[in-house]
Amino acid sequence: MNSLLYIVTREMKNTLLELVRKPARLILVLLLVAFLVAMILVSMFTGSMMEEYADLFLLKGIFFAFLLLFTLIAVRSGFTAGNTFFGMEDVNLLFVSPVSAGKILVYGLARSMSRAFLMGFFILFQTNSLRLFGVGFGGVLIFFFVFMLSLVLSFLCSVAIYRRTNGSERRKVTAAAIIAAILVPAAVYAVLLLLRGDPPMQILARLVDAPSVRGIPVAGWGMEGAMALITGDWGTAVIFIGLIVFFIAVLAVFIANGRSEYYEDVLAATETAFERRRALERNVNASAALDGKKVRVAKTGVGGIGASAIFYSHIRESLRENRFGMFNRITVIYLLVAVAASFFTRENGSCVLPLQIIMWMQVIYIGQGHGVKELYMHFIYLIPEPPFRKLLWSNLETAVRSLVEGILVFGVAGAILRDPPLLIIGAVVTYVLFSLLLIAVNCLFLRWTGMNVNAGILFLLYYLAAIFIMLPGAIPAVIMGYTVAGDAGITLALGILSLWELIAALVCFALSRGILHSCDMPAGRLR
Amino acid sequence: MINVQKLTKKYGKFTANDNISLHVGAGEFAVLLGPNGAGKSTLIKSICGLLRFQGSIRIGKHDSHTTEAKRILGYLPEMPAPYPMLTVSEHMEFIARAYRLTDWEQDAQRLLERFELADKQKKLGKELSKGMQQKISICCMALPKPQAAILDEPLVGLDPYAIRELKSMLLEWKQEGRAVLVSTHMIESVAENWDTVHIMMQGRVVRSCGRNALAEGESLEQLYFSITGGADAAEDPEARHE
Repeated sequence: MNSLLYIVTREMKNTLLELVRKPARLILVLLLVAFLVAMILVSMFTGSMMEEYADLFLLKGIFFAFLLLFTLIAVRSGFTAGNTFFGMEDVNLLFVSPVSAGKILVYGLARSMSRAFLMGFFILFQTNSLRLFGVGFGGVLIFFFVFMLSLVLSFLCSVAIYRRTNGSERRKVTAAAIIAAILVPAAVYAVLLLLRGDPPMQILARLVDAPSVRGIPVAGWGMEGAMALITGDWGTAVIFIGLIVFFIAVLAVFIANGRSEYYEDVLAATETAFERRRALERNVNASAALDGKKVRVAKTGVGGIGASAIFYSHIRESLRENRFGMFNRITVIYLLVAVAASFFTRENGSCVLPLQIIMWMQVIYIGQGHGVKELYMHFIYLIPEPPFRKLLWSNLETAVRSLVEGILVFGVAGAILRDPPLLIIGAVVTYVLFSLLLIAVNCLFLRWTGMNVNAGILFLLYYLAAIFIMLPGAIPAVIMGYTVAGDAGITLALGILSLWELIAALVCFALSRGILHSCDMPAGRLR
Repeated sequence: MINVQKLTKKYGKFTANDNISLHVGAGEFAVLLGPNGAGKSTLIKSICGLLRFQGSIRIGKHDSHTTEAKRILGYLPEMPAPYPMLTVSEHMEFIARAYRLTDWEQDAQRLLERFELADKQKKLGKELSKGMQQKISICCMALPKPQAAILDEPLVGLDPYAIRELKSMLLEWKQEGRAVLVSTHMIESVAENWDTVHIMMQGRVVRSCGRNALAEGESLEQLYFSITGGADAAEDPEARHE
């Protein structure tokens, strides 16, 4: 049998066998499938009850922004270390074998497809949200499919950019200029619409239909292709999906048939990914450890005594990691999202929408806090202090960061939306207590599972738990919001939600008291 | 000082440590030997409270989970993992504060000088080479003056000077009456100072003996190979013992 086919089939077979051998994982997969099916059924049921759907251009804009974000991340990596769809095992065993580089590239593309599949899996869980736009499960599958194709193209773009620009500043400048030239017309058009003072929704509607946006490679093509497939505009669909497929083929041929083999172009990224994975296995602070950024050490010293020294060391690390102290890259993302959401709903919205979006993002980003990372290092287990005290102090930095972040993000969003101060304070409190709840849920899960589960599974469980734990607070809050009219109702709803978050967080913390005594220190999480 | 009784550690159906009992007394230099996958690191992590286990572990007079036990226990992990954004000297300060040490500054300075880190006090954890990370790990372990020290492959990545210093430091600790347990594959590195050896295979301690139990002219290495020897022994350690 062909060696590449052998690897693919054997890996698939072993993955399935491992699933069967680990009943917990199998149960989780089955639960996931059941959850997905339930979601589809619920969406079909609720769909028939809806009288009016939201405007499709809004969905179009969201999908475009989403694709643009992934594409820009991939393009950015093309200017630094490149991108890879290979593992270190491929470098060590396949690249040196007498298998043609072209075949290995096809194998790499198949791997990138599976990576894109995993990255886009969450789209399938948006069935319910997409129903609001009148998009059924078929439409969800179209988004999923187009997302996968677009992601593969962006991976290839990244490798191609790296190949052309590596080692040449002049080429890098040229490539950056080309990318800017692609994006500038759309940006100029957006600014012109803004200056004309059009209502936000009208600006968005015009933007997503503008040729300068539709023509943007990957993001524009993907957006247009997906929407054309959903609306049954087959001609447009063939053009835009065809463009993506065509450029996948062109770039694959370009990469495979260059003057030199492409191995060198993916080597740096593969090695970096491998080192990151290895570093993560022994220390979750890998991102900080592996970035080559020069940090200026000005003020030194760690405060506190006993368990509180953990908090002060986190504060010192935070201040070093970010030029703006407690504000980091994630704060900027939150701020941009909040500003965008507030701007487009400024006529009749409140800061509940930005709060809602950022709370969802917080579920993903809470693991970036030092408190969670600390559990992956041995110090916290060995420090001679009571375990619960260590746990609280090690998570305090995340709580403080959330407070600072909340004041900034919802302060700005509230100003745009002209919300009353009490409502803004409500949003900040809800946000901070939600962070606390997420930390507590995380600790509880680590306590229950003994940290002896796969990181992906742990995240999924935690994600589902976060939803279910919030429900008892969210339901009365929504009822209150609808019962009492205006800002007062929303403020009261946030109050109810905050109270529930506080109670739930305290219960979760109390239940996870013994975490440092009854858990295995995680190692090799990224299996 | 380190007393392990009937320790069993399982990962699902796999038994990594099977009913292990061992003791390391004050002033004793014990060595943990065994082939890859024998369960040495699991045993060490269990003793240090990083893993759950069945059985009992006492450090001094205290259960290993108590703060009293942690106060007198030192651990050097197999993989050094300093805080990427703390400097070398801040690691010392952090440990001093977390362990509530007093008058630690001179001790810290001496340790940093001993392991050639004195001129790198402002270097961040992430800027250190692997060897230097190992050195800062050693300093972090040594600063609280542990009465029981457990070291997992302590010499990996160290330069010859640091190897010499670490060996001499461990000898000093032994002479001061502290208990030292070292897991290593480098048998020659502990050949001079060891008092007791525990040889592990397939999750069990298959042989524990003191230096004076060796036959005339027999070395630690010969003892090790006589136990773990060829493929037959590896497959059936019990049979070999019989």
